[in-house]
Amino acid sequence: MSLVSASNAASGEFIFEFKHAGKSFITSDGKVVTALQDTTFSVRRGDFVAIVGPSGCGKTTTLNILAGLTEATSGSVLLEGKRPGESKLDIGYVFQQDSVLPWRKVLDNVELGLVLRNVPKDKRRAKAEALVRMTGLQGFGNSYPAELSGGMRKRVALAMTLAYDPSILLMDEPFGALDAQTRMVLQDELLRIWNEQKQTILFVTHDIAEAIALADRVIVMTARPARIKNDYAISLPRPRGAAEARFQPGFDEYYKAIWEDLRPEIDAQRQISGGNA
Amino acid sequence: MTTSTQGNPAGSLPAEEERLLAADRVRQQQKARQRTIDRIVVTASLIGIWEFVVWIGWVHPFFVSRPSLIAIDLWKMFSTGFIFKHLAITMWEAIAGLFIGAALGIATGFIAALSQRVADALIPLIVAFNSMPRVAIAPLFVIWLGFGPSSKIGLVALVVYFAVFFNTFSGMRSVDPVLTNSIRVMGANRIQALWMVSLPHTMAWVFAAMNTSISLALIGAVVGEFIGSTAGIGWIMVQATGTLETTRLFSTMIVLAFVGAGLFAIVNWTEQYVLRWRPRTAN
Repeated sequence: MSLVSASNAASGEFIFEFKHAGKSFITSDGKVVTALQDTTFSVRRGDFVAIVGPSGCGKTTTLNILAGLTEATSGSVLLEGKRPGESKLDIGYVFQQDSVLPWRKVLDNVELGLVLRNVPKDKRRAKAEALVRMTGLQGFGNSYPAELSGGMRKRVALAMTLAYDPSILLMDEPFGALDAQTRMVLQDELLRIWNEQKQTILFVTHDIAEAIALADRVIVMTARPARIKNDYAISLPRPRGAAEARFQPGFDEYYKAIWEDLRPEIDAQRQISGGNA
Repeated sequence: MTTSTQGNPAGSLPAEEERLLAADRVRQQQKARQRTIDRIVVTASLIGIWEFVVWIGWVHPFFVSRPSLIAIDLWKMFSTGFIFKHLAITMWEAIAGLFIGAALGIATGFIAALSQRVADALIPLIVAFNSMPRVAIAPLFVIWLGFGPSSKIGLVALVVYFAVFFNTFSGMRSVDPVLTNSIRVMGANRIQALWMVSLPHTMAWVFAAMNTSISLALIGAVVGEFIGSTAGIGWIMVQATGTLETTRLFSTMIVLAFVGAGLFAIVNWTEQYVLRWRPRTAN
């Protein structure tokens, strides 16, 4: 087993590419903060890529650039050869925060993406009902989000993004706020869905074990301004369950290597964030 | 407790749990009944004390009238039909003004929140208007729009407008950006995001303003009638003041209280329906 970089594949099969991309903000008190700096990596269609890095380093910025919510201020980011804001590619984004619309019932939330695509009522209803079953929400289709637990609302958010079959799934610490057991169940569900549909997934997490268990590739980012520190190809056998992956030979080596990459960055980020607080 | 009730259809609970739930239900019913009794007792005692202190001559009825006299006066006003014309006029002024003010407040609050530039330009003006006691403009409205209902409708609309405008504006500004970002990534355009995210979110703020607006609307209508009118509850009160009829003043106040409560019930019911997605809170 080798822990080599996975980013030397032939061009053209990449669904998106970051080329020396950077992002700086001007804060309200006039200071310039660089969230992302000189970041270069590319992801192949159908890959499951995890990004780990210290909290507050700029991982979310990476996802926001791809989603077209913000633009890189240096370098370039290409989504199938186009700027993310101009690309017609369907993107699903599971936010770290609660993004389910509280005034729509579960089914109405799940079919939202299809409503926006003018899919006829009976067709989108059928699809939403299938997704509600698939994500284990049966019986709650007509509930309002306020009546659900946090874990169930995360399932709704996942079903919402899957409804319109996006080519890319961006996930920002999607299971971070959940209890350990719920998280495990949802990780398994995500792996099962990905095995069937092979979307390209970019999965941000601060949980090293989660990254190794789920992804084909784990990118380690530095403290702010975030750069890529290392890029691991995870060659644990598939299909695998999220829990079983932890007992595979090789898991501990990945964990140890990534942890050693990450530890100095966590310390560095704590000093930056401490200075801001 | 041995079973989870989540997703478990009612009726399949074990007997012990059924029994505990039934006991709980009975306790809650008893509490509700006790609360009703307490309220009746407190209200009746206050009315009783009022009647009593006038009856034994501690206070002269010229100043505070008497519950029994007020009841008779209320009966007289309703049985002769005298009150209906005035009641209809005051309610028309309050409701029409409420709707016009709310509609304008929602529309302009929405637009002002869409554009930072419009908002920045308008805000100082609105703050200045809002810090002015708005009923002070009532005499101007009477000069502009005459002694009929339109001057009162104008005053009510103005008073309500500011409350609704401010809340609509604040509501629009407090939309969770995650929700907007989420729906934009799903493919919604700006108009769709406004319609599906900003508007439903802002409705909660609009209703909060509507609840305070009801009393503002009644104040506007009655004060407008005080200033200059030919009919309405406020007009009756002005007449009663002229002839020093304390009883009539009290009975019209009671009528106004019921009008306010009725309007409040209508708005509250609409709110319950429009905001049915909100988690139920204990009342």
